[in-house]
Amino acid sequence: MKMREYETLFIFRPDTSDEEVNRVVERVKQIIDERKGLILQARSWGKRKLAYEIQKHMKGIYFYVRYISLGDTVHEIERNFKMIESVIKYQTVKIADDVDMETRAAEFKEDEVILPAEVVFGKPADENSLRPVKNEDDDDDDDDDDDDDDDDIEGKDGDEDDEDFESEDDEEEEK
Amino acid sequence: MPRTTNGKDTRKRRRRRRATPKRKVCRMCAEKMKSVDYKDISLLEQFITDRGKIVPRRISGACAKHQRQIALAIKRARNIALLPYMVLD
Repeated sequence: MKMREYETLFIFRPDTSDEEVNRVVERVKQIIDERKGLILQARSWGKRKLAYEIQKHMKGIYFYVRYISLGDTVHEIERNFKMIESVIKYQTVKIADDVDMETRAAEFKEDEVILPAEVVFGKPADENSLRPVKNEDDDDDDDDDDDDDDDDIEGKDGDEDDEDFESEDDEEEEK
Repeated sequence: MPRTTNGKDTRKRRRRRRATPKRKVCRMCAEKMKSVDYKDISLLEQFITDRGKIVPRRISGACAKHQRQIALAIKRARNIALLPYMVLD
């Protein structure tokens, strides 16, 4: 039997009561237990702003579950989410293949799961130079061509030669 | 000196000495990061434009391996509404 490690992130409607959240979470835990899986972490991320509208909601209650189980468990959990009205979105990601339950459970640390910070959208993310910056101005080059007509006639073919001619010109001026 | 009239010759002098762009080092490699997590929004938001697009490699400076991981992570984060698919003005 091939055990794998998964994480499922699901979102409740923002007006979902705590009882309903608990009821759904218990249902998920029950499914994992029934199928001989093991829950590593189950925690609420609280009410967060959604990056885009889902079923007319701009906020949602995120819940995160990390567990070791067989693949059909994931299938069963997601089948349940489809039927539960208060869950508006869910996503399961496989973390690792071929996991040994005991060793993994022993080495799992609660803080190895990243908690996303609240993100503000629409404003530049960072002042670093990751934003597109134009280094080369092609238009300026074209302007140069027009100005330097005389030089072109003197010079021969090839761009590399041009640089040499520039330097020669400079020497002549110095003399 | 006769001026050349066919535009081909006048276009000879294309580029002046153009500064070679500074080689960027992949940030994930610099920090010895093994994998990129889609939950790490504070990292991923540095790799999307203000319109929500994934920043291309030539600008982000990420190595091929990490750019692939970033792109996948951003797509996962988008699916679960941690990041936007697009941002309108």
